[in-house]
Parts: sequence; structure tokens; C-alpha cells
Amino acid sequence: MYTVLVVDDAAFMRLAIKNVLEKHNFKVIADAKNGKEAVEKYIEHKPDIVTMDITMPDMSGIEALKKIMEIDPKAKVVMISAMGQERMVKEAVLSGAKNFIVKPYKEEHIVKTLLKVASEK
Amino acid sequence: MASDRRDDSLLELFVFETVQYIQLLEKIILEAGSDDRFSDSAINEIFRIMHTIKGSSAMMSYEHISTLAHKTEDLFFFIRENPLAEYDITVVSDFVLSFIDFINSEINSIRQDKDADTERAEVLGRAIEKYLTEIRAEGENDKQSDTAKVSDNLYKATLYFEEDCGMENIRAYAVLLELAEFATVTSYDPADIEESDDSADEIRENGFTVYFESDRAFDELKSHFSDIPLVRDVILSQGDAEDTSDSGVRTEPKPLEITLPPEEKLEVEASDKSGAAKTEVKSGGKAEAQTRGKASKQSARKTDPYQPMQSLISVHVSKLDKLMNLVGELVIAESMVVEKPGQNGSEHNSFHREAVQMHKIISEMQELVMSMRLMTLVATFQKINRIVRDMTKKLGKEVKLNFAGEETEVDKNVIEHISDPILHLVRNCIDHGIESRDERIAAGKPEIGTVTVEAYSAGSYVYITVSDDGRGLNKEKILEKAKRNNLINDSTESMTDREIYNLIFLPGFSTSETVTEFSGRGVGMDVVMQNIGEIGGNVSVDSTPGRGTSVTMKIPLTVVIIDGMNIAVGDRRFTVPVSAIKEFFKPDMKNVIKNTDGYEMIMVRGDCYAIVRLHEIWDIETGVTNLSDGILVVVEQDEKRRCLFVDSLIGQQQVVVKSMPELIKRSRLAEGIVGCTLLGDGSISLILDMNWLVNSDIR
Repeated sequence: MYTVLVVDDAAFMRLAIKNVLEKHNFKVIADAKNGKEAVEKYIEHKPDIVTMDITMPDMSGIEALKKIMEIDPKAKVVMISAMGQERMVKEAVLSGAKNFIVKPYKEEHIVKTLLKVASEK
Repeated sequence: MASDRRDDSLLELFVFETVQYIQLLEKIILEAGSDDRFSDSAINEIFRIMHTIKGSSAMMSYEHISTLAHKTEDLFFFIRENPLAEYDITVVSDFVLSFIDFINSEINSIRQDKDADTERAEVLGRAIEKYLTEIRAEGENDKQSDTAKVSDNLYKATLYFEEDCGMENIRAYAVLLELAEFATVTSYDPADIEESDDSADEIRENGFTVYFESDRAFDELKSHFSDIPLVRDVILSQGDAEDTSDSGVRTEPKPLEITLPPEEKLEVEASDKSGAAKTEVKSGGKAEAQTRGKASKQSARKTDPYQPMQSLISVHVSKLDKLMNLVGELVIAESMVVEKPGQNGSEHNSFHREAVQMHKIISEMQELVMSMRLMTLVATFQKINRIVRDMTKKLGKEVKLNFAGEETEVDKNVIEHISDPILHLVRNCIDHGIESRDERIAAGKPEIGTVTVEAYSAGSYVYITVSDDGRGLNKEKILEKAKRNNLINDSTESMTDREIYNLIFLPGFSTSETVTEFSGRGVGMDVVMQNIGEIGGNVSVDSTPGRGTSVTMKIPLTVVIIDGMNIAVGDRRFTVPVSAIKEFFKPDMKNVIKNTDGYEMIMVRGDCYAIVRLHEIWDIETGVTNLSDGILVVVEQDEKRRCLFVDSLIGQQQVVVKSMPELIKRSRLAEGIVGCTLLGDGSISLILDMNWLVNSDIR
């Protein structure tokens, strides 16, 4: 069972993602509501995979991604983006994000993506 | 999508958060107020809020909200990315405020399960788009195409992404980035994936084709592509070098079609059609090198200055209500135990000390629970700002708004009941009270009118006053109108100014000749009175012609636990709020008189009060019918006093107000009763309605 850290400033999105993941046998071991918390929680829990919202107060998802990649170059971060954030997603991919999901996402998309990313070496 | 499985808690959270964002949004816009540009942090914050609303509403399948938020976000994206762009802050603010109004009404519709107002969203969306097009500067489109390199080991791969996975062009870009680790990309189609987001549509239809040169084996490449998340299909072919100057028709010497294993493909298709989400994905052979890009080129954007308050948590109000109730029960249970110490053999020495200790803890707990339900009036006052802004703009009046005591804390229940009345009063002040500019100058007043909203607490009450320096109430007009609407009879000479002014609280009263958009629809002050009355408060008005009007609302701090005096009438128990009791005494029959209508009155130190016999009102059998056998309790409400005649006093106690069962509430018997409570001995006591007792026609 893969462990997941869910990062999103909206409690709604955190719950929505958690619901989907737990239905599909992922274990959400922690969540964070901003970039700063995400980095702290990453260090604390070392999750197999991170889902990271991009636009957040108090350190954006991109910055958090960069920090996490610095700490752990093997980190597997999947960005959660909304439509219209192409530039930022591009930056995230350049900065080491494994992949990304576009909101509103299909349940199967998020599951497939996380499974593939998690199973990579 | 989430529509088919959205559960209540998710919806609740969605509504809760969205409302919070909207409030924040309103605050930002109003703070920007008279500046001619938004600050960077305001723009970032608005952008972020729009973005979040867009995301969550799309998840809840409120597409119209999502689309509108997206358009507004676009506008702010443009403003943010083009610091030199010219825009009119009032126009942009109006867009955002309309957006706020729209969301508020949609949330109401959601709560009431009504249909979405997509038309309104579209109209607003078009207006925003139009404005954006207007301010958008001419951009230049340069397209670059890579120069080709000819070599051996040339491959062509066409990738198809899953339906609706989004941002296909960026996905293609990510593919290129990975490919660059072990291959030399010669060209790709569409070529403008980096520059134009429209290329995403093209990829969706025709797939993304990339020509590259690599030393890796065919199978290895095949599995690399199939292992990219959300790739639905790959067509890989190995061929000779090709001219890559343009994306014309190509020949494929050795076409070799590779797709994902059939069973998986079938499953994907099936789930696409049915929309059901159960999809197993195999994670078999994987690409060897999952490499990532080099360190980022651009530095990150500025961090947001907005810091959420980490030390607060949100608790559902129903839980607080329940806790409050339980503490109430505990208070009652306490008095049950303390009142009859003899029964459980606890009459020994330490009992009293222990009882005092317990009482101390319970009182503290009660205070704490009550304080948890307290909210400041800041949010309520915030709404006033908005109304004043809208109204002054529309009516062409200039009004200065003063606040005082917005940090006053009130029970949440109370806040819900006073928000609308306060807003209504402010609307009235601006609409009816404050004169037009010319009128004010003619009257020798400052050109700009002033509306003051003030709150303070005293004793167990909160006072909220809304006042203006406008034209004041017109006594003659009020009387005339009241007569016309049959609200009073002809004998008006004996009425005091205050009594006349208070006529405006009667149902169906509105003095404004012209009905405007903001106030004066005839549902006015009576609603204010009713709302405040429901929470045990009252409203009074004071006015000086030419100098202004002030309306004061007096509201109990909390409505759940009151200090009550328990009284007995026959075998019944009643509770009178201690705050209403002025005095009680054994009557001296010498002072009792009967007026010509047969009403019993009593003289107390020169004042004459009507006597209300409780046993007669509710037909209670009692041995105490002679005034000299019982006790008279003088109660006061709205500056009116009456004497209640009761058998005896039982004692003072904090009581928890419980509402009456619906069935009883609807019957006429419930008149004069506001609720009930449990006494220390376990019996039920009815809480008397002071308003009714001092005002109704009872003998």
C-alpha cells in the first residue's frame, strides 16, 4: 500500500482527494495546507508520493516542490493543477514533478497516475 | 467527476469554505477602496481565491460557477502578468462584487436545492471577457520551429492521452523533457506546444507526434511510452531519416503499430463510456530511466503575504449547541443534587465544601461554553460597508460611515438574528434619513451625511445603535399614515413623541412616498422588531426633526441560559427572568384599587400598576385568591410595568431555556410562554413572556 501526502489549501480538495485515494487502496498518511507545512510533513513522514496543489498561501506548490526535491531528489511529487496554469505546470515539470493532474479530474486519472508514478523506481 | 458521489459533508465543506473565501474577497476589494490600482498582494490573493473556487466548484460539478471564476481569474492573471496594463479599478471591483453577489445567491440556491442561475453567470462572464479583451494589449506571436538533424535510428512516436486529462500540450512537453535524457528529438507536431495552449486541442484530436533519434531498442522505447501516466495509446514506428522542415504528409517505411495490452485498453474504454470509476491499472514492465529535468530556470513567484490563522479550528455549530445544552443539563443536575443532600446520606461535613467546589467548576465551564459561541460583530459590520458603497453610488448621496465597538462579542444565535435588522436600519438611514446634497447645504448641514453604527455591552445586554444626522422622523406623516392604515384610532393627543415614533415598528408601515431599490418595500421596521423580539430583545427609536434619527436595539447576550426567579401558582411552576423583576412584596389591601373598567390596580409609592392574576389567565386552581395571601411581583419591560400576582416565590436559579414542543407552540395556550425549563426537583417550569404580559390586554 502506497503512502500519500496530500497538499492543498482547500480542505474541500484535501477531503475529495483523500476519498478517492482511500477507495483505491492508497494510504493518506498526512495532509498539509500550504507549502511550508508540506515540506515539514514530507520530512516527517517520507511518503511514497505527494499530491501538490500549485496555488497556495504561504509558499506555493512550486516552491514546496523545489524544496522537497532538494531534500530528497527521489521524491515523487504529482502536481494538482487547475485549467489555465500551463506555465506553472511547465515549471513544476522542469523542477522535478513526476506528473500532474488537471482539475476537475476524473477519479481514474488520479488513480492511474499515482499508481504509475508510485511504482517507478 | 464528483457529481454522482458527492456526499453531504463534502458539500457542506464546499459551502463553508466558499463563503469564507467570498468574505475575504469582499474585504480585499473594499480595502482597495479609493486606490487607483490594486496592490500586488491584493491581486495575488484575489487570483488565488478565484482559482480555488474554480477548482472546488468544478469538483462539485457547478460548472457555471467554475467557468465564471475562471474568467475572473483570467482577468486578474492578465493584470498580474502585465503590471503596466491600464485598467479601471472601479470597473474591476464591480466585476468582483457582482461575482460575490452571484456566488452568494448560488450558495443559497444550493442550500435550498434550487436550480443554478446559469444565465446570470453567462452574462457576467461575457462582460468580464469583453473587458479583458479591451484592456489586453496586442501580443506578438512568434513561432519557432526547430531545425532538423538527420541521423540513423530514427523513430516516430504518436501519443494519445486519456480523454479529459487536461493540458495535453504540457503533457507533451513533459514527454519531450524525459525523452531528451536518452534521445535526440528532431521535431514534433504540433510544434507550438510551449507557446500556445490551443495546441492542447490539436493533440486531443490528432495525438502528439515526435520524431527522435535514440540508441535504445524498440521494445524499451515502447514500454517507456506506455508507462507514462495517462497515455492511452502509443503508435511507435522505426524509420529512416526524414526531412522535418514541415509537418506535411510523411511516408512511413516500416510502420509498426504498438498499443497497450488489449485487456487494459478495453477496460479503459469501458470505464470511459460508463463513467464508472473502477479501473485497475497494471504497472508491469517499466521504463528504465525515469529522469527529470534540470534545475528550474525561473525563480519562484513572490510568496503570498496572507497568513492563515493556524491556531483556530472550525467546529460545527451543532456541536456547540449540544455542548451548551449538556452544560445546561449539568447545571440543573447540580441543583437537583445540592437541593436534597439528605436523601443520599451525604449530609456529613464535607458535603457543603464539595458542593461549592463543584459549583465553581460548573460555573466556569458554563462561562467557557458560552464564550465559545461568542463572535465579534466585525463580519456583520463588514457587510454594512458594502451596502453603503452600493447605495451611495446609486443614489448619488455622500455618506460617511462610523463604527464603534465592532469588537463587541455576541452569541452566534444572536448574530444571525441581528445581521439583517442592522443592514435594514442602515439602508433606511441612507435612503430615507440622509437628505440629498442640495437639501443638506440648504439646511446648513455638512454636505456629507454621517451614519453611525455603534455597539456596546452593559450588564447581560448588548446595545446596538444605528443613527444618522439626516432629516429625522416626521411625526405628522407617521400619524397620518398610521391612521390611513388603521393602525391607530383617532385619539392621538395623549401620545408621546416616543410612542408616535414607535408606530413605525407596526406591521405594514412605510412612510417613504417613493419605493426605492434598497428600502421601503413595506417590509420594514416590523421585521426588525420581529427578528429582535425573537431573541428576547427590543427596539426603540428616537428622533429630532432636522437633526437625525437613532434606533437602538437591546439584545440579551445569550438566549440559552438565563437567571430566573421561580414562582408557584397552584401546583404550577413558572419562571420569570430576573432581569425583568423590579421588586416583590406582600400587598397592603389599602393600596389596592379598582378602576372603572374593573381592572385591579395597586399604588406603589405614588405609581399605579395594573395587577395581573396569573391563576386567572391560565385557569389554575389555587387556594390563594386573596391578594393579601400571595405575593406581587413588579415586572418591567419596554419601560412598562405590571404586577404579577403569584402564590409564592420558590427561589432564584439559572435556568436553561428550552423551546416548547411544536404542537404546544401552535396552540393558543402557549401565548405568554416563551419556553420551558427543568427545575432542580425535576419538575417543569414555564418561562413567562414579559413582552406579552406587559402589553396584552389581560385583566
